[in-house]
Amino acid sequence: MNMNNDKAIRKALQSTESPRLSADFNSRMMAEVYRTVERKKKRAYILSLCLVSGVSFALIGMAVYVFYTYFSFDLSIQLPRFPKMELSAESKSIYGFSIYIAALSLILIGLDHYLRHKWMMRNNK
Amino acid sequence: MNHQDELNYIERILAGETNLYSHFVNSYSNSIYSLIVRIVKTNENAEELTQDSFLKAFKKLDTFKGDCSFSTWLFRIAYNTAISATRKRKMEFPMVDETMIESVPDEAIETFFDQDENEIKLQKLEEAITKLNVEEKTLITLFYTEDKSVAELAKVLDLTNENVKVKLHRVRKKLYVLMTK
Repeated sequence: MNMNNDKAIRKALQSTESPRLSADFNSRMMAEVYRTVERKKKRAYILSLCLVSGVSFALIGMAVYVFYTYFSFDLSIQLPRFPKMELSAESKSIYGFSIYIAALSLILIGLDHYLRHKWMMRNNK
Repeated sequence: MNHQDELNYIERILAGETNLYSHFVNSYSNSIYSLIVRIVKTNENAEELTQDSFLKAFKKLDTFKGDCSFSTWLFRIAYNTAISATRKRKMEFPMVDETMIESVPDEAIETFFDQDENEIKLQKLEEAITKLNVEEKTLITLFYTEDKSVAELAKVLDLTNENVKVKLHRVRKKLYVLMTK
């Protein structure tokens, strides 16, 4: 049995060839693919945000619970007892420097995030 | 593009180079569309189903094991997508008596399908092809127009190699019966 010949079947299938896809199908298809990627990224971002928020709230809740349950913490009693912060000129300059470093770090992280995002967008085009 | 190149492309797409997926879309969109049109019979949903197939493939790209060519894997997804669409609406195919199919001698179909000059015969054959069921149409479309091997067809249709051979042989006999009836 040699099915590879069957010239008639081949010819019949070719002549009943279906109409071709619309000219812009491939570009529309890729646009949909990019949208899918964006949606996937957004979902992952929201999920991680929810996760971080959830863990943070859980930690805060746990801290509050521990304070009230094990240390019989009463805010109305403890609040007046908190020591007042008096900053010397020397410690003020240290705080100033720390704030500068923190701000710089935040700016650099933001810039890194922005450039990475831009690079990814350029590669995906 | 050979199999290794395909795997390399897929690896890069998964690493974030989404634009490379356009290579697969450009290479296979028309073949996938042809198969889907043949299965669903109408052009109206076919383009949408083609898009669905490519999107499903993209979303599941990380599950592609590389044990077959990308096109075979893609045809399998397209076939399943088209089958799901046809399940929603009732499609009817004419029944052909099994004894009639079995009684056709092998030699008769060998010579019958080897000649392609007779226009009337070709017209009858085109008509007979439309009367085949979904699986049979998929088999002959992929075997004769996409030049897929028996092993690749087995992967697309989730059958054994032997099963594909038997079914292909039976489809030829069924076409012969449908044409000579």
